[in-house]
Amino acid sequence: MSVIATKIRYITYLLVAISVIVPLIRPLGLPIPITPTTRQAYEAIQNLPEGTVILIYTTIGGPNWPELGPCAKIVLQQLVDLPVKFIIYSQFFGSSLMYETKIIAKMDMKGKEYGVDYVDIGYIAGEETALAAWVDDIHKTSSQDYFGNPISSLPMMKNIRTGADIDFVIVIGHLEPVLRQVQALYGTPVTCFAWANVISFYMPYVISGQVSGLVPGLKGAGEYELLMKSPGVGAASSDAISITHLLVIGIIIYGNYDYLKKKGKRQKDVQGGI
Amino acid sequence: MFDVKKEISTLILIVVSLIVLLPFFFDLPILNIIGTEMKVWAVILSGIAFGIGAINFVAYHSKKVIEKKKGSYINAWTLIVMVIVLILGLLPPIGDRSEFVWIYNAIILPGTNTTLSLLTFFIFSAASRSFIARDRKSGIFLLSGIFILFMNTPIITSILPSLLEFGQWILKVPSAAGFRAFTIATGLGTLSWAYRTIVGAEKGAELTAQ
Repeated sequence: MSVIATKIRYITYLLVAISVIVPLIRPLGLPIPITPTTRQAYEAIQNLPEGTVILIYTTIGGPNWPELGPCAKIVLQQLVDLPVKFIIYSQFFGSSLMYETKIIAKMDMKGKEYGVDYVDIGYIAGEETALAAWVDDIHKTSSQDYFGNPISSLPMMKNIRTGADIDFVIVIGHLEPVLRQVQALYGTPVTCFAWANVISFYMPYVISGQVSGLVPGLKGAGEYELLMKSPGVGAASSDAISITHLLVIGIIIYGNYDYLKKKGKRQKDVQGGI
Repeated sequence: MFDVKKEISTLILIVVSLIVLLPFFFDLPILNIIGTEMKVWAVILSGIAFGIGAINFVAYHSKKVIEKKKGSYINAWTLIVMVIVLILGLLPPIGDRSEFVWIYNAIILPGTNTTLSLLTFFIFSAASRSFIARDRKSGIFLLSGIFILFMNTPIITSILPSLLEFGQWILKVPSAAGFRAFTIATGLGTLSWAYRTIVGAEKGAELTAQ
């Protein structure tokens, strides 16, 4: 590789780093239009009646934390404000740890009491089979919660025994297991916060009405924060998304210009040679 | 040739498949109970699989250390770290001890996030080289890529709201049609695989190859 090409590559890397870091440190407040499916998800949750039992089925943690972490935070903030009960079910071994240490520990739970208004089931090994077993018999499959308390000792779980007792599901991550094991069996409404790159895969489920609302990753978290009137990491990251996307468009344009210039020069050389 | 072991395992497979499948179609309480019990056992076995994975992990790295192969100090370090995390994770309160939480939040999480985030630089580098209109096909690829970028850039869609609407149409009509066909095909494939399992025709990839 030529010295100039290496230099251009390093300059590009530097520009990428700057365009990500600066908006995160100092948010620019660039406009964020709300995607219709994000609004649909927000309204579906906001209009839940009092006493609704919600299952938060999550795969956050580790590598997907930067994209789905802000989604998990903002939707939990919304649930804390609503008169609903929720159960956190982890499909990734680190999800409950993330919830307890990075979200709930730093959030004002506004009087929501553990065991009465919300429960953390923790991680259950076995992926989709585990969810199938769990909705069949919750008390048998997860006899203890994340903290080791017997499930039967938690007041909220006394009348929640099978998937039929769940009124609404919020998926943060993989959607399909919930569709197959909960929505298809019990007709439970589902809303989903997914990685931006799987939105195309999940869109047919929104059109069919199986999923009410689809939030596209970090960009969607920013939109959701605006709907909640509580801009945070997601909104700041939206600025970074705007700047980096503009940069990549610029780089693509430059790449094409460079290619055409070299192509023209080559053709000129060939013609000159003839 | 009649292989007793193979036939018995196929029979178990058929019986288990039917027990789990039939409650979807018929309200049979006894099958429901047995089916639930089997799923719970699947969860227990998944937990045991983690243990087996850990044993394999230790066996693999220990062998490297004992054989003193090049770079075996990395294997030794992996084993040491594993033991430390395991001990801290098992000390009461299990999985919630502050030192364990610190290891996860201060080492594992930033480590995995950093590894993934580094991809950004390579994606930029790749975009500048692959999104070039060399011919008609690559030109269409370039246009699609640019459109997706425009659609996902909040600042652009706020200036051109119709782009967001058009993007939603693309997602909801042509793209969804393609993915729907893909999903239905996968479903039909799964159904045929389930049928083969139930009638005992599914012998597994290895046996089929034989």
